[in-house]
Amino acid sequence: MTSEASSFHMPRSWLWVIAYFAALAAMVADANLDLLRDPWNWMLKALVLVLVIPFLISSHRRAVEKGPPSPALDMFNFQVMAGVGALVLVLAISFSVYRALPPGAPWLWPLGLATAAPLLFLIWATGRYLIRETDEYLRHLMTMSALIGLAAVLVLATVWGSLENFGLAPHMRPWLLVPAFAVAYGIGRAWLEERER
Amino acid sequence: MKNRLRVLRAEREWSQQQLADALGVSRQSVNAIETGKYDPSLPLAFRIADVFGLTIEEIFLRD
Repeated sequence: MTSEASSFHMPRSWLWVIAYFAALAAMVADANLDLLRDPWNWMLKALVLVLVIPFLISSHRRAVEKGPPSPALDMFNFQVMAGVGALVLVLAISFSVYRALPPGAPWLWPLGLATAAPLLFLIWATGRYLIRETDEYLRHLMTMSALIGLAAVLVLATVWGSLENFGLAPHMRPWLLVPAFAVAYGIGRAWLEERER
Repeated sequence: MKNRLRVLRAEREWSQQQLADALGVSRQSVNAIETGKYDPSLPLAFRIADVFGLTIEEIFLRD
């Protein structure tokens, strides 16, 4: 192991990824807590859709900078883009429809499940990538990043849950942990890749 | 774990990408191993030794 001291420097391309997930998390929080009124909530949805473009470009640039990506990583990146795109669309559509439907309407069941489907797809894609990836270091990077994301989610859930038990924090919907995981995963991955330099 | 990968590669005038292609891994992997950020598994260490025509002990050194 080398003992070179390295200071952390966030690559610019990662800022787009974090900005995208932060906007996505804000959109999810708004949909959950009804924080913003028209037209601000629609502007937030539009921002998430617009941020998809630099998000896709920066992801592609990062892959090219590191040499030709492995076929498994190529497929995973494509699946993530498809999954994230589907998630944005499904969230935007389903919450608009949800507000138009009466409480307890039968259509709420497929609507709720449809919202979860892109996230389930992303979890499946991650598992599939770990199986297909033949490059052990890339597998190691993915595993470590996911562990950082998991650790962040466990800490957040534990601390928030404890505060909520004592009436010190408002109730948090459990699925908000998914965007929290994505942000922590992204930061963890950026940190791990920066250490390589 | 220390290693002589960068020196051995330089002696043969190989780029990281060329070595990565010979090993069937990414350039990122070669860089991580060279800089000591990642210790390869035993099968990969054997592949590295084969590519250089050396033994594992001649490439990887104890701390």
